[in-house]
Amino acid sequence: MSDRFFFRRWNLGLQDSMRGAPVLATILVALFVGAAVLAPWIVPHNPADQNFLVSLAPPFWQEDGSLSYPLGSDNLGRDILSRIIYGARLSLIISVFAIALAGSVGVLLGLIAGYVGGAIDSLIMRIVDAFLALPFILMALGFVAALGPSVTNIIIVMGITNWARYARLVRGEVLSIKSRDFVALARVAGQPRWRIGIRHILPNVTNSIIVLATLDLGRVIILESSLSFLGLGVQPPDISWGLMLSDGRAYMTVAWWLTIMPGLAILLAVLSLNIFGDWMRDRLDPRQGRD
Amino acid sequence: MGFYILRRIGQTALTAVFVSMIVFSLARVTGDPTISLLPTEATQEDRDFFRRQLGLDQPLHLQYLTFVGRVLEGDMGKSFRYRESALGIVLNRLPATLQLAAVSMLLATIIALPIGILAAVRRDTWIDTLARWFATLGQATPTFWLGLILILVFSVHLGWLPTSGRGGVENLVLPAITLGWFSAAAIARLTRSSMLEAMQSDFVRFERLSGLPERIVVLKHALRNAAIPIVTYMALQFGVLLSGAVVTETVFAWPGVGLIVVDAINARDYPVVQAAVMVTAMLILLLNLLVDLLYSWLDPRIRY
Repeated sequence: MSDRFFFRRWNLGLQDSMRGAPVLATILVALFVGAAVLAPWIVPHNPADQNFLVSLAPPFWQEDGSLSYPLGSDNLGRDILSRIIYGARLSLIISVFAIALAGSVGVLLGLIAGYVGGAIDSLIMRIVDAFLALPFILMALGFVAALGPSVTNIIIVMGITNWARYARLVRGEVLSIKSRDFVALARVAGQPRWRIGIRHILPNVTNSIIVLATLDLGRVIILESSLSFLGLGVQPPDISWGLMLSDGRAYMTVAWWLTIMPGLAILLAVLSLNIFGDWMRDRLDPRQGRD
Repeated sequence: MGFYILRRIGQTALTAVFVSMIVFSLARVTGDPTISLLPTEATQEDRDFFRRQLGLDQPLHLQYLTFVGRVLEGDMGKSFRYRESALGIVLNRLPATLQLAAVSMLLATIIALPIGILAAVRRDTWIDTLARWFATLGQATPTFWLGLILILVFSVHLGWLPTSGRGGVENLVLPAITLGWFSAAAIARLTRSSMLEAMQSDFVRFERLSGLPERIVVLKHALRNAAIPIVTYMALQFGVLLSGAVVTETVFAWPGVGLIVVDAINARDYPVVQAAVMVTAMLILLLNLLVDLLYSWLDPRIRY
């Protein structure tokens, strides 16, 4: 009885929180995340298995295509669909960790800048400006090349090249919240500054942070695939969409699917994440501007 | 006003110092350059001598000051590969990158402005929907993939345009579309929202009521009011184009700064990488400063 009641409430809560969500984008995001998480159990082939008998097989709807390689195979006879599913996995892992890193650093520094103010604020904001002015891809390329292109290093580099926008966002929010009554009251009540920052100010900026992080996912996915495409991101035998595109380039004239399929995967993932993020912004944080 | 300009220039200088620190650290995280520069059979004495020569035995802050001093004299070290000034190599390639970025910007503007304006004027019609899809799609397309698709269609299948290199106009078309695509989408999106805001302002409504033809109200008065944020945004997008050119240049073998950076990175030629990051970052900083000053001049209401 109480179980049913709980389930009903949970269901209603879910319905309410998803009201007005873009259906197709939400489904695509769920597919992307699902593919990433479940990759080892759902792939039709081992993505590393080579089978020279079926190398460069076209997608199934083409004349020589077959359903056992639905999106075709590459020059080594590896299944494109399986590789795209594994690519989603690495893409999601890298972008989530990179954003978590960038977000933590940025939020912390933004809180300090906005809350402490004065010289520390100006100092932090000039560093933010410096990072925002740096040619992003060049920097990332340089650091990845210097540290060596491993998955961990890619995450670290994307973290250090992406934190500045979080700091700027949080600082702005903190400045507007700081002057509100409840913060003054907390101070009068004798709460220490760090406690006010964490207990009273941070919860008021989480929505904006979540929105920025969601919209950032797509950007970071594109950045990772660009690095991998240039040969300075994910390294074989790991599988990444950017790497697949760079491998497929040599076969462009004979096997268009090697160029189209991984790119479509990136496009759809980023597109649906962006649309989903836009919807979340309208819902959670209507003040944050459209651009 | 004068105070504001001075303050803004001061801020930019301070930011430039931080940029130089980041670029300096780029060289330091690469580890001991003697390992890649000297042959494996070099003795420890050779290495020590070389480290002294490069000033690597000095404390870090002194190394940084030496670095800044040299940068101010226009010396960013010699390319390990070509034995030429790294800054010279980058500056040689800069015109090609600037050309590509400028043409991309022009193309993006020509496409984005009409789309953005039309979408705002015909709000909530199929034109608006189409424009919004254009903007959303454009911002989700990976640049290098777009380049590959364009090559696949226009070079491989149709054989109309060359796949790579720099030369006549025909070499510019595909790279410019590739690089400008994202900015076109971004500018169209901003133009739409700025125009919507301007169209809802009191004076535009008043002009409508006073019987001015719609075309004049939209193009002359509303657009002029929406122009400041659009122009600012375009200038900022130019910075995005400059740093985004790396990928496009690699896809199309366009001989600009980006291409040489990727080459230099693969060859561990760090002075060239540093010089390229430094030059591009300084250009973007200057651009941002100019935009801010222009902004305060165009709109005197802004006071900081």
